[in-house]
Amino acid sequence: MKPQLRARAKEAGLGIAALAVAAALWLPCLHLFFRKPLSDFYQEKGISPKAKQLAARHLRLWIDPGLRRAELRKMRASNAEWDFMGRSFLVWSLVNMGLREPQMKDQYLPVIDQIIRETVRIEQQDGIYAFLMPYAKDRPFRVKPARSLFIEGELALMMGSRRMLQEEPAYKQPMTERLNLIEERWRANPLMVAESYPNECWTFDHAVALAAFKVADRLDDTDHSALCKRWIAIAKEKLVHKATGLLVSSFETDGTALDGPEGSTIWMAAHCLQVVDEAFAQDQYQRARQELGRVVLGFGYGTEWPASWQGPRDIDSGMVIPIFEVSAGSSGMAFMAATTFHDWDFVRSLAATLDMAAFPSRRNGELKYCASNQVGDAAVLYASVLGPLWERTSKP
Amino acid sequence: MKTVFGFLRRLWKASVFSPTAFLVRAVLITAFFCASELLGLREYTTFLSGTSANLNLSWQTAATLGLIHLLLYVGFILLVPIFLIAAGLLAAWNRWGRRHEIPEREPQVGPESSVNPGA
Repeated sequence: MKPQLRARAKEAGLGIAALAVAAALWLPCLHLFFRKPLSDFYQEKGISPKAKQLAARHLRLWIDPGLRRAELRKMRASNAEWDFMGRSFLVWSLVNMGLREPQMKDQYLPVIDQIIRETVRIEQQDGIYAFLMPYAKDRPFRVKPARSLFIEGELALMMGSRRMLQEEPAYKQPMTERLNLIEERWRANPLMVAESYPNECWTFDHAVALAAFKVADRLDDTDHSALCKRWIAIAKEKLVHKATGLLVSSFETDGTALDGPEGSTIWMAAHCLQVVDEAFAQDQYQRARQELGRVVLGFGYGTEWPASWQGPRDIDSGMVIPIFEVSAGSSGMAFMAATTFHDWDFVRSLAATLDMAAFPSRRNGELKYCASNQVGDAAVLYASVLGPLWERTSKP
Repeated sequence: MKTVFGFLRRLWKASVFSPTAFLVRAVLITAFFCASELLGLREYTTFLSGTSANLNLSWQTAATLGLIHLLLYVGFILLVPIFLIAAGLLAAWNRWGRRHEIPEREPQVGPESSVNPGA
């Protein structure tokens, strides 16, 4: 080999070796720059700094109509569901914040009422399709009149949560009517399922509805425990993915699975089921954590599908980063379940990922994540304050 | 001015795996990332959630702007420190190597070599 070539090869070898050593030194340290104490994200009592900053931005969105319109327009251009879910998560967050800091109740209640009233008005004026994706119109709902469990359940839980913070008689009847409709449809179906989209039922929406029944029982001295128990029993038998033991995410009205266990669904389902059947919820969380939760180099995230299921990415998955299979949707929802089940190490590693990869932007005491959107930020806010509402609901 | 250009040319022409080259790359990525921040491309990373940052632009354009920022950010937090550490390691290695290099033999001036060079 020519001496010049040999010198170049030596230099290249040294350079590559230096890069490899540098990477081996740097990569394991990277998370230390983003890992913060748990109290920065979640506190058992009071409200964490991050939650305060996120809430400040959301409250401004509901005070400044121009800003809200712009934000919702962007989301609705992709998915009208997100507009609706952003409202739900914000209401549930503000209720939890009000329960944590009762002196702030007067500031939150008007916003909560504004959100509920405006959402109901849109639903009554434009119909259920206002908050559903366009494909909902492609075929008719099987059960008439067309109603979506997605909307009925979340609105019932919004109203119930508001009443848990402070009783408001105006919400009692509409909440009861929505829950009665769900109960009626569940009882009319052998599998106790109801459609969110035509012949498309979602575990996410059933879990929210179950939690709404529990809240109603607490508020109105009703007893839906047998109904909930039966739903869980049927779900364990018919709606579980055999390889993982996790609830499937969507299915037809006859129970035929449309999808396997999906990250953006199962974390939320586990969170809601906590007030319905604590042991089953805990079991679902542990399985989801094993099948869908990952921590790589100190950064936590959720995948959309377990290794045993090859499913397509849907709009709820958000962007999926190949190789690691990081799903934005699943990772956001994983926060909720991890906080619910006090998996603090996982919460901290998820928070490190959020600060590293979601492009936080702080201005005037307000926080938003640029890589997210209003519904994503509202879901993170909810994860950072949840607890008191479920505690109050489960109290014997 | 001439000195500055000369210095920059030397940096630019530095051998691919030299400490200088790694340093130059780290500086360039940092400069591009700062420019992207100043231009507000951070907002466009909302494409990661499937949302468009600017409805006046096509989805593809908005997503491309977001992707540019994302790649520059990944470069900034991953590659820049790795390049800097690698540059430091190589510089230290080269310095150590120079110090321990076997010095070239001085021509022998002893009586043997001069008396009997062909021995």
